[in-house]
Amino acid sequence: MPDPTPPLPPAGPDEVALLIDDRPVVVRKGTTVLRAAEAAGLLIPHYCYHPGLSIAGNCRMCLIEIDKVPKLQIGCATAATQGMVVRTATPRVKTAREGIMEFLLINHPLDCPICDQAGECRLQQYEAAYGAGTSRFTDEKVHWPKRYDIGRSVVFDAERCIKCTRCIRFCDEISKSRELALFQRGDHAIIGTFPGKPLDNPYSGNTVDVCPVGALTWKPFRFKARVWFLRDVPSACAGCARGCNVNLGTYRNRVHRMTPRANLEVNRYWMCDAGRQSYAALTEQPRFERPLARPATDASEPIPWDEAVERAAALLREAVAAGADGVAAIVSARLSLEDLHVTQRALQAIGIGRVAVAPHEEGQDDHLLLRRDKTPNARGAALVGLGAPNAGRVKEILEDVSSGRVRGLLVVGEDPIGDGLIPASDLRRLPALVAIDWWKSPTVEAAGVALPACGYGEWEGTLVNFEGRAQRCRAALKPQGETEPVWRILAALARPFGFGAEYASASAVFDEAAAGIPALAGMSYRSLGTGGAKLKGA
Amino acid sequence: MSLPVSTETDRQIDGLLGRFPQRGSALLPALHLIQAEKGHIPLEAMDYIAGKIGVSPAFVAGVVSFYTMFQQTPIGRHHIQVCCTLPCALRGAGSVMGYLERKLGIRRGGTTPDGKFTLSAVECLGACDTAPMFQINEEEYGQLDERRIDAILASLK
Repeated sequence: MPDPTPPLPPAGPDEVALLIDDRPVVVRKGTTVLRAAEAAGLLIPHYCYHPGLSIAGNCRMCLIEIDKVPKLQIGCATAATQGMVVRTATPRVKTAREGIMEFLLINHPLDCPICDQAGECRLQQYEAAYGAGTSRFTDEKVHWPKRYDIGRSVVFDAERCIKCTRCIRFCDEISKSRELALFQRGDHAIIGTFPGKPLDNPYSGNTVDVCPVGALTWKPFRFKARVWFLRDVPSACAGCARGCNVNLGTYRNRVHRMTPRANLEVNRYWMCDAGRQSYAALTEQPRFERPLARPATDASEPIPWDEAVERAAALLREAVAAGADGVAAIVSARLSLEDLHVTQRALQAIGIGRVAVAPHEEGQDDHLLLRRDKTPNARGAALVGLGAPNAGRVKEILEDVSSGRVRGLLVVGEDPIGDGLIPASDLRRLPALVAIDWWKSPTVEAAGVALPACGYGEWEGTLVNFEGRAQRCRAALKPQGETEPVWRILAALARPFGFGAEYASASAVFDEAAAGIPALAGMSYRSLGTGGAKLKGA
Repeated sequence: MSLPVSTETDRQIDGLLGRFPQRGSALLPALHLIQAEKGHIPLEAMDYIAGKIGVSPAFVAGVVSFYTMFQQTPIGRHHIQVCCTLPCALRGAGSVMGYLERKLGIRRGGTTPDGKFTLSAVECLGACDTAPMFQINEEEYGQLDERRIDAILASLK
C-alpha cells in the first residue's frame, strides 16, 4: 500500500518542515505547533495563548495529536520539529476538546443574553465549533461575584472567568503594574487584586481585550451595543504622537468603543486607556453644526456657509491690507496631514506669513506607548512646511494680539482661550478673528466668524507619528450637521485670494502633498494601507 | 515606617534571600517565618515581603490564599487540625471532631472566645498508622479517644 502522507518540503538550516493535517509547513526552528498551524492556515482553538504574552499552557484547548507521541500535547507550548506529523482533528483530539469545553462550562452562568462579550466570545465560538452541544451537569452551579469593580474602568464577573490568566500576564509583562493575581485554587480559583491596590494602570483596558470571555468588561462600553452590530473601522488613534492602530466600533453613526488593532511596528496589540476613551469627546463636547458669525450683537448666530466664508475672507483681507505684520495664524498639530498641507498653501495665498503650530505636552514618554507629545501629527506639520510645534511662537503671537499689534488672527483647530494662553476679552477685541474647529470652544465663541469642522472619526486623512510613520485615519461617521473637513474649509477660504486648487477628497490632497514633499516621495494614499508606511529616511 | 514583623524575623528573612538562585523561591519559607511569629499573615506583612522579594503584593496574597496552611486572619493560640481523610475517618475521626466541637463549644472552623483554640478539619497529615489523629500547631497526636483528648487539651496553656 502506498504511503498516503505527502512528502516534506525542503527546510533551510534554521527551519523545520512538518506536516499538520497532511499540509506541509516550513517554519523557523523554535516555532510552536500552534503558530506553525496558523502559518498553514489552520486554527488550533485556544484560550490562554496570546501572541503578545508569555505562554501559560493552562487552558488545554489546543491539545493536538503528534505521531509517535503517546499522549495529546498542547500546541501552544510544543515546538515544531523536523518531520513531525501533527493531527488537529482526530477523534481523540475532538473528544479532548469536548471534555475541556464541558469542564469550562460546568459552572459557566450561560448569561450570554446580558453579556457584552456575546458575539466575540471564545466560549460561544468554541462551543459551537468544538463542543458537545449539550450539558450533562445537573447540579446547582457555583456562584461568584458578578459585578465586581476590579479597577477604575474594568468590571469583573468571576462566574464567566475561565482562569486563562491572560489578564494577569498582561499586567505582569506588558503594563508591568502587576495588580492582578490568581487567588485560591482548584474550582475556588479566582482572579483578584491586593486589598487597596485595584487594577488601575494606564493600560487596564487591554485586559478586557485579551479576556477571551466576558469576565472582564470595559465600563464605558457595558451594555452600550451588541458587538455584532458594530462596524469596525480601521484607523489610528489621535490621542498622542504614537498613533496606535485602532478600530472604531461604530453603530448608527456613533462610535461605541475604540479597540487596538494589531500593528507590530507601532502599538503591537495594545493601546492606552486615555486613547481608548478619546472617541467620547465627539459626543461629550459641545458641537456647532453651522458656521457662526458675531454681528453687531455679542452673541454668535448661525449663517450659511457661503456667507460665512465670504465674511471670514473679508475680515482677513482687511487685516492683511493693514500690514502683513498685523495678521497671524495658530494651527493645530492635531489636524491631518491633508488639512495641514492645504492650510499651508491657503495661508500663503491669503498672505499670512506669521504662523505658529501649537504644542500640547503632558506627562512623560513611558515604557510602553504613551508619549509626552499629545499632538498626533507634529511630524506632519513640519513636513508640510508649517514648522514644528513651538510654544514660544504661539506666545509671541498672542502677546502681540493682547498689545494690539496683531489685528487679524486665524485659529485652526486650537483653543488658546480654553488652554489659558490668553484672556477671552483680548481675543474678542480683535477686529478679525476667524476660528475653525470641530467643537464650540471658548475661542470659537469669541470669533468674528467660526467655521465648523469635522471631528475625529468624521474626517478622513493621514497622521504622521513620532517615528515618522504615515498612517491613515478612516472616516467612521457621517459628519454632523454642516461640518466640513478642515482642508475643504481652508481651500474655500483661500479661493477669494486666488487659490485655485480644488480637491475631490483627502486622498487627492495627500497625493498632491506627496508629490511635493521628498519624505513622502513615491507614496500614495492608497499605498498606506491599514498599517501605514514609514517616511523616507525615518 | 515600622516593620510589620520583628527585627529578628526580618533578619532571618534576609538570611533566606541569599540561599536561593531565584529570590522568589524564598517566598514560602519567609511566609512560614512570618506565620510562626504572628500566628497568621497580615496584609501589611504580605506587602512587606512582596517588596523584599521583588514580586507583587497581589502575587504574595495569591500564594497565601493557595495554601490552606497559611492563615489570613488571626486564629487561636492552639490550632487543632483534625485529620478527616479516609483512614482516620474509618477509625473514628467523626467522633473525635464531634467530641471536640462539644467540648470546646465551637464548630469546625471556629475559634474559642478566649482565643485559645481554633478547630479545623484537614486532609491527610501522613500519620495514618496512628489514626484517628490530629495535629496541634506543629505537634502530632495519634490514637485519640476522649480520655486522651482531655489529657492533651489539659496540658496546653
